[in-house]
Amino acid sequence: MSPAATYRATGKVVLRRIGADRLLVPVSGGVARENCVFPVNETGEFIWTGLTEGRTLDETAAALAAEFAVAPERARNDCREFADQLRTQGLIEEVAP
Amino acid sequence: TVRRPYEKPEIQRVDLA
Repeated sequence: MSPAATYRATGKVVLRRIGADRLLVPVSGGVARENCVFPVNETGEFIWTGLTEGRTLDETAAALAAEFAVAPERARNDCREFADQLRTQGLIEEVAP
Repeated sequence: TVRRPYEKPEIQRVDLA
């Protein structure tokens, strides 16, 4: 995944909070037909929000390191890994430049 | 600036069926 690329949700995916839990719920598009929901934790929600608001991986990682007590290098690695998981699950896709 | 405690980002997949 390119650190300078931007991403968008595949189809329509909404983030919902149920108590302290956070769920990504696909409501249309391919992954919605699989009848699955995707619980994420606080930092997962932060990355999801950053990427789907149009920030690049690098920008999202920098924001993550500024908001949470984590070293920038680890934030970059974790951000890249998490985005890769989002893509594997069919929740995001890269936006063509 | 007080930064929030960090947890490695995680995602799970729950099949509703």
